Amino acid sequence: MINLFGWTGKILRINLTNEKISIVPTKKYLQKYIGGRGIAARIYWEEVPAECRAFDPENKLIIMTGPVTGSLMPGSARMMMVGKCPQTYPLESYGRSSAGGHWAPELKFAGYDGVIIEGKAKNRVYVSINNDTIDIIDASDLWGLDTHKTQEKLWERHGEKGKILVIGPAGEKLSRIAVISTDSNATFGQGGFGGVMGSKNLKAIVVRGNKGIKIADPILLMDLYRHADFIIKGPKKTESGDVGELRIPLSGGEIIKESKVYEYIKEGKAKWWYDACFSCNGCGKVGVKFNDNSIPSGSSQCVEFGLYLHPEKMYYGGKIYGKVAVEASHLIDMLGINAWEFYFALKGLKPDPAETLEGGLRMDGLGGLNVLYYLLKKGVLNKKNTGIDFEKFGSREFIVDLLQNTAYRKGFGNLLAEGLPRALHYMMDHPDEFNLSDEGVREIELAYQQGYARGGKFGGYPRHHVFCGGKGCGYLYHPNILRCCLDPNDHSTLHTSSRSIRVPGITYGSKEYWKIVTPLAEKWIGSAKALDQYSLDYKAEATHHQMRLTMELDCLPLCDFRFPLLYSKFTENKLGDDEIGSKILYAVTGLKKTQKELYEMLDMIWDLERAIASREGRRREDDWLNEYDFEGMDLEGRRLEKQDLTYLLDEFYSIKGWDLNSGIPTREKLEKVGLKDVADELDKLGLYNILP
Amino acid sequence: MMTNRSKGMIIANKTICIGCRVCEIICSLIHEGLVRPDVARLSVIRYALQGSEYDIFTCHQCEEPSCLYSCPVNAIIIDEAKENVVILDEESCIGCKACIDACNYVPSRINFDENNNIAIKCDLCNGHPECVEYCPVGALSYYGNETEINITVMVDSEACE
Repeated sequence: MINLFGWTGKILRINLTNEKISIVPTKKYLQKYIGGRGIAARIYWEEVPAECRAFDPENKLIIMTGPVTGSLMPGSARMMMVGKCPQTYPLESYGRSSAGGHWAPELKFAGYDGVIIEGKAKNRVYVSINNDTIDIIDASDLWGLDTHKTQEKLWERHGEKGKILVIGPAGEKLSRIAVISTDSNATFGQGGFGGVMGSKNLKAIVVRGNKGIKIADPILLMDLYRHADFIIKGPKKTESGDVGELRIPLSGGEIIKESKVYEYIKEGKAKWWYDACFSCNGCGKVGVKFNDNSIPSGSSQCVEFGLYLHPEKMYYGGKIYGKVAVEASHLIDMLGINAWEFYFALKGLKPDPAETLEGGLRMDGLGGLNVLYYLLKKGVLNKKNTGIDFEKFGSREFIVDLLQNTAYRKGFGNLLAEGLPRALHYMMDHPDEFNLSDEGVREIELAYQQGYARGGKFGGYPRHHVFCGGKGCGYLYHPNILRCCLDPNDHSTLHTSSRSIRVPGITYGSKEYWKIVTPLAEKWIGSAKALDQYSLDYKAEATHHQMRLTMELDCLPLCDFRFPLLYSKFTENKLGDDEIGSKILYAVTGLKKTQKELYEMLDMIWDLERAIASREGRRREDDWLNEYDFEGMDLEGRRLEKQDLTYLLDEFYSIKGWDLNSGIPTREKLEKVGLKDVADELDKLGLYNILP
Repeated sequence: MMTNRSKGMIIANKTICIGCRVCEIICSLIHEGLVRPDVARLSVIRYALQGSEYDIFTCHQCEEPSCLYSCPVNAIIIDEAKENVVILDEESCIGCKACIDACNYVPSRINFDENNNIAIKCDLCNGHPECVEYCPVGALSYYGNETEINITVMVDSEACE
């Protein structure tokens, strides 16, 4: 038996139908797969058939940690979830989501690298994992409770050190935009996995363990921790737990001291605090608690934090992030709804007041609430056909009703629980039911396309600040577009992309900038032209490299709020460490790979995932955008041209060895990366017969 | 009986702590070669939903170490060679938990390793506590005995039952 470092060696399989518990040895996958996303994808390929629907008992929730999960590294507390997603529109499909918090390390302490949840419980249950003791327990008294209340009850029962994955009312009601969360504000957000958990009659998974994770070289790991921390934060310990040079778009830590809620804090009526995932010194996630408990306490970050900042300001005036916005951000967490679906964004954190309403209409940030706002403002949606009172947009009543109706599927909320793409298309398909004119239907189509960039059969995810047409984003950069086309739910499109381009403190395009980025770009992408936003040269290569960076973060795993560490404000040459992934992997597991070898192992997972997508019907025509994205212009008046996207897709498929016509990975490519069995399966399904 | 006071002790500022538990990880890495927070020599209790202040429980290297007096096999001793730190010899420990019950503080600052059935205790890492070094936000401080008066104040402000 190999002495495993980093990994525990066991994946727990829990069948809810027959209550059978079994173990899959992680070793089965370790020869070929580096980490979480790869192993989860492989299990999905082997076990979830293409025709399986998201809410079928045959669907599985595959939770995988990676080798680095629960190690000392900041941002390593993550895990990946894979399964058939109900959120993908119009077809449910393979998808993934990742989450941080403290649950994934605790799972490893209990002795497991992952959990496969399969089948469907006869009655409502929750699962308790306590080292080797696995119990499936009646959850009838928990059903209907929000995520906070459920966790509090389970802490009473299983001890306050237990870590809990939980769904709220939205998941119970099989919402396609329901999340699975742990603590407050750490969630499997994308994909709608909360609804899948609800469909299995599973309310929560409590985990507790004390076995520990073996580390191959603890001293090296401790050195790397300091090294990684220095690249982002520099030499100083920051007392407040602030995030140094991270510059998260919506970091609560940066905003809270200038917020309306800070008035309450100064008066001693409320408290705030920094929250952090296991082993990470934070991304500026903040918690707020009112002493009188007039609103629920909790913590929030990014889209949850920003959810109702601007609407509240539009309605009540004053500074951003008042009590109503705090309540909204905590409420959506408790109900278990994906915050992107009700996120309302404006360009910039402190918009000019005169621009506020116009900003909302321009949909710069493009959350789901922007789409609703647009349609309410235009009068297409109104109190009569939806029961939503637009006059109250921005008020407490508006957001509380909207979220609760969606979570409990009441009235119009029943439609919203299906996710906006399905809700909007239902309206377009049933204009009489909503008393819609032809113009109204056209407006809905436009609103949909503005909020949801991806065309084809595998869209349905709000654009994650990927402004393909350039509107509001600033500038057209083709790799962002290509990634948006190729990956239905890539959270890190924005993150890894901006980390690859932006050098802190250095102006993009300056002489100094090119001096810093050129050696790195030449090393990994082939040319610094990859970072030149004005040409198509090396853009497919740049996309490919960014996808590698993302895959590395998903597999090890490391948080994309913190990694990759390509550049630094604090080092002399402004470079971070482009090979830190392989170093961390070595320190934790003892597995010696060069960074290039690591990337090559990771590249194969893309081929596997593409094979899964191919099996589920994804073809080249699905790697495309809605029309709207070819119409907008960026700040310099440039437009995304269809022939450019076509050219880049050709280039990208060529790099990957995917068929140019179908987008299916070729047999040659799959065999080359050791996936002959996958090619055989695709062949058996007749997928290679459609090739010309 | 008063002992010679340990030269140093670790004091936590719970208003700065962000609950990342790096201190627990470092402690278990140093002492066990594992990431295993449940056997860390200090503990952080996060209140994930109620937040605001996390509890951090560190050993105060008491001047009157009840743990030492309570041990039936004299496994807890004052290490005079190392600035009088109160240490626990894990080899001699019989796992009776008397020291845990005897600790002046609640919760007890002596931890117990359920898997190996022994008590474990902060040894200040030979005078250079790594948890203090690695805490990314500076929530932990190492005090020498020149600040004894302040220590008394700080210790008293913690829940001492």
